[in-house]
Amino acid sequence: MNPDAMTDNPVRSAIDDCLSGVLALPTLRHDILTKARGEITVKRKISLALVLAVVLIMAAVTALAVVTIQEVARHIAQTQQEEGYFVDWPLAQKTKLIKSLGDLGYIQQTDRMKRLMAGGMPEAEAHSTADQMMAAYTGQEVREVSFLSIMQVPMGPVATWTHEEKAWYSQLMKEVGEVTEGRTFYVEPSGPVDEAEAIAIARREVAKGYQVPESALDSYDMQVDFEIPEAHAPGDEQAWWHVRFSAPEGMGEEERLFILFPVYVHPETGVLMRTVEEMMAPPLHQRPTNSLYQAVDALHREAEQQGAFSFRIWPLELKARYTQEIRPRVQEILKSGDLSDLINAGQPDMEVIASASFLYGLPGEGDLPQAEAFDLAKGALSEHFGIDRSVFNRYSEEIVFFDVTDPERPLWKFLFNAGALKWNTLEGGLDNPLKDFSYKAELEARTGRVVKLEEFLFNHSGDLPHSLKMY
Amino acid sequence: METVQGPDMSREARLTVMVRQYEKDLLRMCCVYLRDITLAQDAVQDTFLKAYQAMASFRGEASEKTWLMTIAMNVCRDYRRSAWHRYVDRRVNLDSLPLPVSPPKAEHIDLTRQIMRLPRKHMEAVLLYYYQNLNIREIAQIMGVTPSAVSNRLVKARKLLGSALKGGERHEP
Repeated sequence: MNPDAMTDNPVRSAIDDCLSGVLALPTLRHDILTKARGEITVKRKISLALVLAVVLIMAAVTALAVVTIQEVARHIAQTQQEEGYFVDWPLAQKTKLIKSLGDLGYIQQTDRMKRLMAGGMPEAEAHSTADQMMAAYTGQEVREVSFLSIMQVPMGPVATWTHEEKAWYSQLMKEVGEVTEGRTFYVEPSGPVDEAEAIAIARREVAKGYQVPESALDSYDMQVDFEIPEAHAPGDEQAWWHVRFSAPEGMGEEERLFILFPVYVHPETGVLMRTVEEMMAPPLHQRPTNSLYQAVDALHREAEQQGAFSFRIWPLELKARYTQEIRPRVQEILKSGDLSDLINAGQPDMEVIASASFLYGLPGEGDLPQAEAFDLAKGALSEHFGIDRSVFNRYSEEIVFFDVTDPERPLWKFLFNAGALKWNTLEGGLDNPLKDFSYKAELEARTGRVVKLEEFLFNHSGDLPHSLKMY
Repeated sequence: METVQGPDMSREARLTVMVRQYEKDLLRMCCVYLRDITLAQDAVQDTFLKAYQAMASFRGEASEKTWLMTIAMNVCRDYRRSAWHRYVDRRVNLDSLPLPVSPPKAEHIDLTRQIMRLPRKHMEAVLLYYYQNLNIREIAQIMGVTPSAVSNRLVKARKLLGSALKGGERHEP
């Protein structure tokens, strides 16, 4: 026990107070004991080799296992290549996959599964049943069930795959025609420089480049692959050790050397593809360090701690602070006509200017709650542009502004940014034109009256009128 | 020192005792760590399952609690590293957690949010020291660092948490 345990303990009081509703489920003990006794298959990471070994033993002993996980993987890869993600597969392919996974013991043979396999269900019900089973199996929404999400159940997350497993994956993708130029291709390690030596070389060189002891890299996450790099010219099949050091989540700017530092080590010679000194060469344009940018970046750091990496998805509170702390300074610069303090990468910084163009605040008692306004916005966009309402639930980020530029008439603004649309959930995937458009709705916060609905093409033109559409 | 092994308890009985003793605190700790009640429930389940599977090899070099917290921390780190966790918006939001039994104090909400926003290694140190009441040496064992590194992390964490945890340095025996 530590000394603080016997004194007032504010952390314990705070957490217990805030999380007093978080209680262990009554079924927890039962579930754990049931799983511990092996009554339910527990999802866990097992190697491909082990999967194969188990399947081979099962096949030899019982003659019941009719497929191997490799064959299942090939079936998934081929079908995905031809039909897209699982949700769009023909019923016969869906049931074939589920049967295979059942034969291998990854999906429990329930009555529901037996009814699906028996083939007597109406087609719509059978599709729905198959979709639900695979969603439950992968733990993902059915529209996101893909080769990787299916294979990560028996094999564990990709990041934990062995070099052999990654090489097998790359080879399989190549064989079914999924490999395109510019894609990393994993191969099995070869050459006299093994993984441990490659790591040692990478650590030594990076530490030397940054003039720090190698131990300074201990707190960084590290990932190692053996691959033909995606940037290689077509036909260049030289494989390299790719050692990546990355700052762990939450490591502050002041304490970290870098966010990500990749090093390629030649497996024959141990020489680096690009020296650390070359990699460390300063970028052509550096972000300004004047007092305005220091203030902007301080707010960015605060937002990043909350997981918000761009102004648009900042919480309303931070946007309001931006209005109070940054906007007056930006407006002052704009008024003066001397934009030198706003020049970033050789150009006036449209992001900083656009973020300071409107006044943002927080909703008050007389304003519609955000959720209610959001709902109205989706309905209005859906009706006006003839788009299925459910499309507006398929964005990975919710962009919302509370605009108080006119204090007598505050506005809720909602942006559905094309870049955040999960296009693989749309009919036609990348061919669906919806993926190119952004949508925006503006409503009076007090009445809910829709005052503006917009549809515009996503582009990176960087001009102010276009930038302002996003704010 | 309390250990998992004992002559008169079967593995299942020992697991049952452990679950009863630690489940609530473990669940709340995982909840703060992962910022997600469902993930936290899975993490607790995984922790006890791993403990059950590893019971036979547990030799009692550490206390049962230290051993269990080591497993829990590893499980939580694995969850945070998973691709799925990285791509889900995990802004600190206490509103998504089950309703508290009574309205929490404002300063408690503030402190809990601040803890959730701490860098991982600092948050781990705070949770193990203040919430699980482990000592510096036990935490060092769990985190795989030296006791001085743990102290260092706690000092930094206290600075990051501001006045809430001020009250002077404490000295371990």
